[in-house]
Amino acid sequence: MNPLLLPWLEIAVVIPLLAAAPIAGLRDKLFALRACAAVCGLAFAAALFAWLAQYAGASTGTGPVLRVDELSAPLLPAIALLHLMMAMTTSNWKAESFGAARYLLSLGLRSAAFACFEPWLLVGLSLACSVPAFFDLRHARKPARLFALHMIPFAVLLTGGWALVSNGVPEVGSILLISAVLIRSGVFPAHVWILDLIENGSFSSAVLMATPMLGVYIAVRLAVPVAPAWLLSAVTLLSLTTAVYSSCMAIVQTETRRFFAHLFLSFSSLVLVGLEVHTRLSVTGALALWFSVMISAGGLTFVLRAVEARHGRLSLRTYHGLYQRSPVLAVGFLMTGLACVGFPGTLGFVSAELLIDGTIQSNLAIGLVVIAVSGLNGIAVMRAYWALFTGRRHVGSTPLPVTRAERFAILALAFLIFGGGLFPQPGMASRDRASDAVVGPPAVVAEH
Amino acid sequence: MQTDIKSVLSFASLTQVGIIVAEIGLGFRYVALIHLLGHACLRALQFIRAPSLLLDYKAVENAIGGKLPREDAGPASAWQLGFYRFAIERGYLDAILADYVARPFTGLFRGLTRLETAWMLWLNGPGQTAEPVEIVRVPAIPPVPELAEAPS
Repeated sequence: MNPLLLPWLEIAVVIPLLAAAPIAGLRDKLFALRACAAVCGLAFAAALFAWLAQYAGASTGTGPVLRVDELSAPLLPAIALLHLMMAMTTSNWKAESFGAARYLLSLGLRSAAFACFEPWLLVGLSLACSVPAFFDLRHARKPARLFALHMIPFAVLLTGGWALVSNGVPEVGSILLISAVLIRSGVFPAHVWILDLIENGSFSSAVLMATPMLGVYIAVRLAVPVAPAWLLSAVTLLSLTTAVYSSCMAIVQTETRRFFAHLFLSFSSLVLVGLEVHTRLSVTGALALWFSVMISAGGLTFVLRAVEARHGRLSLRTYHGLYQRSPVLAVGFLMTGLACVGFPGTLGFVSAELLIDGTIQSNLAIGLVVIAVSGLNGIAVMRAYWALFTGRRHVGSTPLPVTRAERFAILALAFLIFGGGLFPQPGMASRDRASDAVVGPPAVVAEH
Repeated sequence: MQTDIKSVLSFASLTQVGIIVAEIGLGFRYVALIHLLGHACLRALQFIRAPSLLLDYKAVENAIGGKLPREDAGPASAWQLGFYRFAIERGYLDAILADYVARPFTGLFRGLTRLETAWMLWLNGPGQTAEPVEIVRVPAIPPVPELAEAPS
């Protein structure tokens, strides 16, 4: 029997959902954390097989509800890999507050949402994905009002928007849907919920909620196909404003989490810009940047989390000189940070190039702003690197080497970032095919 | 006009890059390519040789027990001094950027950060402090003995 014919997608979705209940009942929190990491590993393997099955044309899922297509095929294993890396590298002393069941529930819901083809189910899953983050904030005894004040309008606009679109009022419905997408993607001025979640919530859970960019996925599946051109132009303008604003804010931040939050917002806005410009090249670039930012920003979070676990939350006002204490983390920071901004030879390079080419072809001014945003983000990354890892000689008596799990995660990230950067063709071809879902298949030129 | 060898080589490289771009603009692409390759080889050699050249000068000066003899150019005119100062300060570009670009930029966006924080606190409701997270500030570290300059 061909192993690729097994229902890998369903396995990837169901395993974490089923495992959440028994793991919630475990009293030994350290064992629960390790079991959670093992389940994430199984989900990652299943998602990887689902991608392979889709690539080989063997199986794309069992029905119209859950299916893998060109768009979602690489996103599912990327989401599971990020969950696996975060669970694996969580310190033992954080096991008590980790919330393994909530973590697995989030993974299952997120995987289901990114493989969902049934619009109403996608709406429901998108709303359900926000619930664990709310309880994370409550669990950490942090205020959740700001989060709720953004998620409730998101839920109302998304549900109302799709109800109108499915009942034959596409123009008004698409406005509501796009508004929901803008809130979920953290477009200015609705961006503060992401800052608040990353600053006050669990770093890993907050980033895992933000980095897969569910808002962009909702835009591709539900909003862009029905949105009129003028609405897409308005969204381009808003996203571009957010990208510029966030990249400038990232440069002046004095706290690492907020620096990361602004940097991420800038990239997610660039993805939206590429989608809404709506040319084949810009959409391909945006889809490639989406995958690249998910991996690179997820990796950057992992490094910042490892730094926090060793030294606490560090200010970016002063130099800390941590390179000598943690050279592997310094290299990891530089690698993931530069991959985010599209440094040559990394995963982000070709995506950034495609996005810039696509936007310049469509509108020179937009293209120039995208270039400026990339430059500003590069300055922000290097400034944070210099503040954290250089500038002074750090002294300390306790050895703080990276753990085996952290070394594995850094190597996996290096493999993805440099592998995708040095051999970009398969990934770009896949993103080009995926852009059919947004702009339709390319026009065939008849040969005479 | 520069007083350190790295600045001299950097400015010389900038001159050549300008000429290469001009050649491209004039349509002499092959000339630009040959110029680029030749310049890259020569400048790389100069950058590699520069530290050892300085060491060679130092060795010669140590051997003769004083500075190498230099040609006396005579007193400089006011115009020459002004030009020299302009060159040594690199056209005051750093100061202009710091005063008219970096400072207004950081001032504006730090102000916006404060506004953003206030907006978040207001949305989160009463009972929140202006500093929601504990930020670790590493205390000043005493000088490391092995880095201290050894007495001659």
